[in-house]
Amino acid sequence: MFIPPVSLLGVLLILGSVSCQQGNASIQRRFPQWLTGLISVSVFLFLVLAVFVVNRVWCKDKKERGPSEVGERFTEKGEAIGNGTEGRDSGADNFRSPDHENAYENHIEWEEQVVQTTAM
Amino acid sequence: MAGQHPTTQTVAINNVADISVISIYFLVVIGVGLWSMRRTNRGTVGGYFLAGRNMVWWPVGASLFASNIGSGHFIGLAGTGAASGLAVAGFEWNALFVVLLLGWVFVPVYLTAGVITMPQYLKKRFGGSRIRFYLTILSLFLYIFTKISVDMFSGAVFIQQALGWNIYISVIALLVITMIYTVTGGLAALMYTDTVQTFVIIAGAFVLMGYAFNEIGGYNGLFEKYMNAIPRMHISPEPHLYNISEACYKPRSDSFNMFRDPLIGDLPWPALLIGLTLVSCWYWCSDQVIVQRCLAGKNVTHVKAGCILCGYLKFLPMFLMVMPGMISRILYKDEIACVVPSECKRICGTEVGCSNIAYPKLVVTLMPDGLRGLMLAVMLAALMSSLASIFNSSSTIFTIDVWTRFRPRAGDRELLIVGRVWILFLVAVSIAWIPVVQAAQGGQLFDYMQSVASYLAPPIAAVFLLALFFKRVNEPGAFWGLIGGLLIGMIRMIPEFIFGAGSCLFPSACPAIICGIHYLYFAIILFLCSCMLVLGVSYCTPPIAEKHLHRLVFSLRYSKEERIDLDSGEDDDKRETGVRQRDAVENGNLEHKMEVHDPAAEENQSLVRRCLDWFCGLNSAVPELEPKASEEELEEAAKKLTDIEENPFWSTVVNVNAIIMMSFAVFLWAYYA
Repeated sequence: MFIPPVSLLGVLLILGSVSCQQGNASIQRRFPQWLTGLISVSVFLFLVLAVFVVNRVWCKDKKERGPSEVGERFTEKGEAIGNGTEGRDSGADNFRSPDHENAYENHIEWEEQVVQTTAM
Repeated sequence: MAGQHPTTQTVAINNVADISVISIYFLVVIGVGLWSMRRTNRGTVGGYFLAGRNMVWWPVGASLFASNIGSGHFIGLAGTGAASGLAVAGFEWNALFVVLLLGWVFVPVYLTAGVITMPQYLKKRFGGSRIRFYLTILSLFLYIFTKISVDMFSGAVFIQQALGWNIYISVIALLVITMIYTVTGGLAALMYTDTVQTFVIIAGAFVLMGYAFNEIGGYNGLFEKYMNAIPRMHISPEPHLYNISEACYKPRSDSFNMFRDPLIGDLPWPALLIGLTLVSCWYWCSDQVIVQRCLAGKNVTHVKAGCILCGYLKFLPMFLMVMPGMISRILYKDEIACVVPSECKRICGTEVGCSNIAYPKLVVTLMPDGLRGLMLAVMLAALMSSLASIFNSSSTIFTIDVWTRFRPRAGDRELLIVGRVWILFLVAVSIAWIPVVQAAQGGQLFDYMQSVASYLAPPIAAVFLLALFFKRVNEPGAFWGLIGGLLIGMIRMIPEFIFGAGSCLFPSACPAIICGIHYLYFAIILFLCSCMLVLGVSYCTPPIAEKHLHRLVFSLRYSKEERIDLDSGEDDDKRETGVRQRDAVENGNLEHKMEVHDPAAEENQSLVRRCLDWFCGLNSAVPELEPKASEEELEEAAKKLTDIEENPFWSTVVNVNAIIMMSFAVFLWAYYA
């Protein structure tokens, strides 16, 4: 019962000296250099993609909350928005509560600030 | 002077090929300088200091690169590469990302703020003048005592050690040539000559790299032989005085790794990734020398493209400088890796080590006639472009931030003359600095100077980052953050100066609690302390109202609201951008001013005076102002200058390019991890 640990200890001791020798000779790498490079580039590109997607969704969400938040993006283009059609047909509908159309938003708050077509 | 050191490698350049190469080089530089002088209007503040804000992307990028790469890089990168391997290239590859930060985050804000200098930006952002005053003094101090001296020192090492030229004559000649196009041409001439210099630097360094790799048996030869580059003399001649440990002459076992042990490595990886980024934030994003080149860009897209170009060029120093330095150690291991102090003293005149001569040694021994002249041109190009940039930027700071404070009503002409006189003054200081450089060569004065930046810069980086991203930060917060950061930095800097940095054989006596922390770790700590001070004091004092911050912080950069400048009553805020004309019209003093100047000038205008005026481009101010634009047109021009809207197509192109560049950078970082 005592023999395996002792031999293990011996092996470990030898390993220690072996790894010391290796440190001088040449660097042992787990992957070849180009593979490390490729892996990290793909991780980086994946992160960029993730940021891009998050940004898209976030921006759409922001647009949804009302033009007052996005600054002049609406008024600059001189776009007129028909009454009752604000913020429809944008992908962010998916994030809305199905129970009630205005469950998450307060439409009244920003309606006054938008150029609207009226039946005048 | 070279006679003082019994150098073996001194080779005077006296053959026809070398001399003609150098003459051609000087002619081209002066020619381009003169040509670009004619292209731009140098008679106004905007024209002289910001190149009329009309630069396209390639001079911007090339100029960023040439201002950054000085002779210090050739000496320092190659020397450190020879001493400790690849990791020092991390300094360059880290800057890749920071230069993108500059183009995408910082420059848009500076542009819409409509500033010329960095102290001016802080003044607009926070109000009051003590922050501006402090940053002005600190910037000028850092330019003279770190940037100029390091570049001059490295240039001196090259000229003196390798070529055996008289250092006074060569440096004075160099400074005079630099002065010609800096004083006369302004930033435009500088940026076009920088483009030429960039070509020269890269071409020459590539040639040397080719010769070096050829000598060693290619790329693989470097990695096979570097570990065996041990000097023959490594046993102490005086064992009773000191012993030489293995670590002092053997190449480090992690020589081929960029990421090194966070505790015992010479460049621990967290320090390289985070600490260095913070110091680079100061160097690249909030320092006048670099930012001024970007402000000269035509529009934001051109600036971004210039930053990408500079980023791509920054890939090269690893292959052009660090690896040749390592090759130099393999080829001349007894000299470059010398460890016995008396031996080192014999070889390069310094006792602590001779890694500094790694690059000059390669040039002198490997290059044939003609190409040696080219390499001298490379070193001169690197030296001249960096010095010229520093001269120009510090004269901008002096003129805009110091002189207008003393004389708020100073006209354009006066400001331009003051700027040029300041350059003359700086050149004189640089020449007076040569004896100090020579005296310091034996010691390690210049090593401390290199590290000075990491003790002084982090508070500045902290204040700029917070000023940009937090609307809540106010004047007392920024000021006390800067002062507190300075004091903490001093706690580290002064003991280091007193105790000395020490060498491998004789470690410094500095107590470990002060000097034991790696200097880049210290930069992180200093940055965090400054941030806490800034935020803490800011939250205890009243905030700045949003009406003062439009287009001064990142989140409000697209804001179109009218900004009410803090202390807008003061006069020295009146002249800020190239839109000086508009201000002049508004103040109603434009015509008056010109009339005061002109008759007097015409009456007693001697020939010498007229020549001088032409030389400085001052007379071109008058015809420029003749066709007076209507007020609406001037308003329009002013809007255009501070406009940061981009063409969506080209904006996408530069964004995609930035991502491609970052992918390359990530690949290379991991490849040499």
